[in-house]
Amino acid sequence: MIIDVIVCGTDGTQEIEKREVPDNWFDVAEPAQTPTAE
Amino acid sequence: MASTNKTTVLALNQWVLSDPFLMEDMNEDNRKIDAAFGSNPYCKLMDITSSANAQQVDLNTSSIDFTKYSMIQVFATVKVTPSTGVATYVYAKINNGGAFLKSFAETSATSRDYSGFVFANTNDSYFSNIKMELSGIPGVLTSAYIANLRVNGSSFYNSVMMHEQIGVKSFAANVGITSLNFVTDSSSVYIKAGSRFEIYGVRK
Repeated sequence: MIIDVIVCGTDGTQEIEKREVPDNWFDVAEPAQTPTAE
Repeated sequence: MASTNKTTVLALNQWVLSDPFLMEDMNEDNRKIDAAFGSNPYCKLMDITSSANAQQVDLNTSSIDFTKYSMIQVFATVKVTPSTGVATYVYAKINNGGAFLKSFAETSATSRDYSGFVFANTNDSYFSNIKMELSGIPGVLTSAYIANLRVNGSSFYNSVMMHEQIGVKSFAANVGITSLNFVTDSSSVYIKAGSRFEIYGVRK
């Protein structure tokens, strides 16, 4: 899977990369907690 | 002989054309600047606003020597797009990896794929914010090293959403903090252009 990644440098530069990542890149093994509403 | 005019804060020389330009005056100015800079330990290391939409934003920190700082603070103020009416997670990672984390509601820490997160609103009216504090960052040459993490995420989605996690992160030997990463939870969701990322350090 190809995703867009912006790589930012300490000098203020930004580059947009087309980066290949695993298909499960957005999967989170340990689900985040249910949002806590106030 | 010093210059005709001086700056308001440090009384640095401000020469006019008729003033002599002397080495000792320049050296004195440089001494004042060095002393003033060194007296304030809090410094900005990065401040960048993203210029395009992307599923991931990487802050390249390979040029920062984190061993010079007692604490690092990272602030990410983000929007996500598209506006689907459904909120999404934005995960913060270190070196594209997770950490051992515990929320205050949990009794024990768990190894997670992320170092922190915020539950972000897709409504353009609201920003979401992640604050990360890292301390106890050991030297690159240490064989096993851990950073103390404290991560807060806050946003508004129908109501106030907030959480706080603490944890530790282990690094492989001879590897420092080379990147801080912010990733959405879906390939169809983007961190929106105009999101701001700041890194500050407290010098030792």
